[in-house]
Amino acid sequence: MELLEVSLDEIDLQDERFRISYHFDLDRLLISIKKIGLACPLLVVKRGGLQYVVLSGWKRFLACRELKLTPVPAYLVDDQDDSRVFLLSLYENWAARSFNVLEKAEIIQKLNGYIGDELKIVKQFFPLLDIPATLSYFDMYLKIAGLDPSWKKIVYDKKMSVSSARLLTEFSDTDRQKLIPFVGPMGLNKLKQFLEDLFELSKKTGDLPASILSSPEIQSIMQNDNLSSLQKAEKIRARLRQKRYPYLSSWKQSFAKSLEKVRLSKDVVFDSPSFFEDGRFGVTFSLKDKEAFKKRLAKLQDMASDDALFSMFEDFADE
Amino acid sequence: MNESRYFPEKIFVTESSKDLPLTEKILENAGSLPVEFIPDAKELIEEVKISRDPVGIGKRFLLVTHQKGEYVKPCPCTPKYIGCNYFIINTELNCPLDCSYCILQLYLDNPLITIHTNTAELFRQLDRFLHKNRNRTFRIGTGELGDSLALDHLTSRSRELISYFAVHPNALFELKTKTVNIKNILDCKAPGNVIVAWSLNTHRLAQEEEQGAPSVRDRIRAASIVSRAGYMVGFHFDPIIYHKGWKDGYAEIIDDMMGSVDREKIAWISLGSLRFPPALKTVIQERFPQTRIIYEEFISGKDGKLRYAKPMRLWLFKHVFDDIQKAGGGKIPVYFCMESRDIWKAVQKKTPKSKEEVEKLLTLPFGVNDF
Repeated sequence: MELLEVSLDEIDLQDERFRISYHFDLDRLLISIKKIGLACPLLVVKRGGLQYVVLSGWKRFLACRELKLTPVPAYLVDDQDDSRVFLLSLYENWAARSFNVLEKAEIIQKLNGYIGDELKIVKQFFPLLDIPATLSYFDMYLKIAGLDPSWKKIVYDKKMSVSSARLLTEFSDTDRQKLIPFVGPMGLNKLKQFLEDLFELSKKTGDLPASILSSPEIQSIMQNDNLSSLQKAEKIRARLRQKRYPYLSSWKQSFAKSLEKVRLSKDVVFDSPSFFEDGRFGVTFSLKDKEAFKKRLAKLQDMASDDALFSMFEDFADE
Repeated sequence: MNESRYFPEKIFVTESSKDLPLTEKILENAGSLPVEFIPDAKELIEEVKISRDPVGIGKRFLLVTHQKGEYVKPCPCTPKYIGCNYFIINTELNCPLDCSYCILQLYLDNPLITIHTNTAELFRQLDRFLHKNRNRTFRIGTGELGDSLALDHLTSRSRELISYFAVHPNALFELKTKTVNIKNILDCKAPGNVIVAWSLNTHRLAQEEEQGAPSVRDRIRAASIVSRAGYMVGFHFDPIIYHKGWKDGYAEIIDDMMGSVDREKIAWISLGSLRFPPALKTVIQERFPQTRIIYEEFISGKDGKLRYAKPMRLWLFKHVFDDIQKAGGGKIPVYFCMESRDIWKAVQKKTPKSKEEVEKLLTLPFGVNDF
């Protein structure tokens, strides 16, 4: 490989045939380049006359461009075979770091273009990528690669797991479009729960996700100017959960109502059994000292004679 | 009765199993089906596993091979719920029927329909097991990792097992099936300790969720025929599934069952609600995109499996149990598969403290405990 000084103008930005990464946090690299310059040269090939194509080092290239640092050092790989060159880039990256979900999806899509033999890709490359070697995973990653850029950005920003990204691919383009305003304020776990509940509610009721999200009750939350976007997201997530789990929600509500009837001390908290499964109710209270502890115990003793309290322990009404 | 029987597209026989008598019998019963002899099954299994639908493709091929491990094992049951001390015999793996909820879609590492043909080893292991347990009465069966009778027209395995257990009365041997493949059974003399059991569900669920299985009416009819031939029979309402019309659906089946089979001939009835490891949900979503049964209200149980929330399970169990009682099944032992003490107590007003107590409940009526 020949080491060159390449002007940034000579690099074809539009040619992404070897690119596997689209989302970068450049901050640290910018500081590093400012301090010591570009320590590690790009890897480029020459395609279509005078233009260079980045083979490896898109992040470095974008950082240099932002700093208007040109020319930059680059190794020229003298090979016209794109599939061979892509493998070179793949192994170079693979040896240096692990790939995120989107990069794996991009790699598989590109391998599919270069090699075309899906079984070979699954057998040869999936173990390298830490992906179960099955064609269903092959299909799933191709679907992730096919997500539109706005969703890929969300997958990257939220650091979504492969199972969450897979869930996204289960929605139609129209549904995904409808989803975008809802997901911004949600953290990863809440977003996953929101997507799962929406998907499963849609399956259960037969209503399309887009029409569930367009329902008047969801829209009224969205259009409520008194709520912050985080509050809206939280309310909508809770509403969906209630619709997805109507019985569990109603039991929780009736438990809360039962508690209201009980002469509870404000400092004593009763919790329903986890998922109503193990039959164990929780009682928590706090105290400062021995005297407070004695008072608490006396209060609990008093509560124990309240029949209304124990009606909560009875069976749930029939369906 | 719909007696459509399973024949694979192709049979693979591993070299080590080639000359075994059961292998020869299978190939003879398979007629002109293509057969390939392979050094071992590893490569074939890997090829199927890599495919888009390993479970579906696995059902198209039959693997005839050795059981390299233990034939007889305790039923794995599930942690933190009450078991029934059942033992399983792994003569076959996987099942040609295609039930959407089937745990085998996830449970086994080998997706092919597999018959183990080193029968001599099976009986050696059974001899050892029975000798070790000669002073107790226990339940043992073949229908855990496959359907006990779905391949019986190829193997005639039921004949061998029935005659083997006929002389070991402290073992209550159960053949568990959804099929009506009962010809071999009817050809045998019925020993008192052999129970032929059917999994039942509502007509709607059988139609929508149990692809390839005979109708529930046919299953009950087969049970009736087998019981009239002298066998004890069992019924498994497992999984009981919450769906629209479930109350009437299960009541109808229970009426049919109790009206068709002499209650004195029913050894036991088990009840279990739909439950599955979370990972199975994805498999079901992919293989059965039309199903809705996985979108009911499940919670993560004490064993980490998804199951209906307890109040829902109580609705289901109480209704099915009461229907059995109303239909005259008051004396038939009913047990829960993988359930909590709370459920036993709330539905049956009894709380077995251990799996041994459940075992006793089911084996005592056979009166062979004095061995």
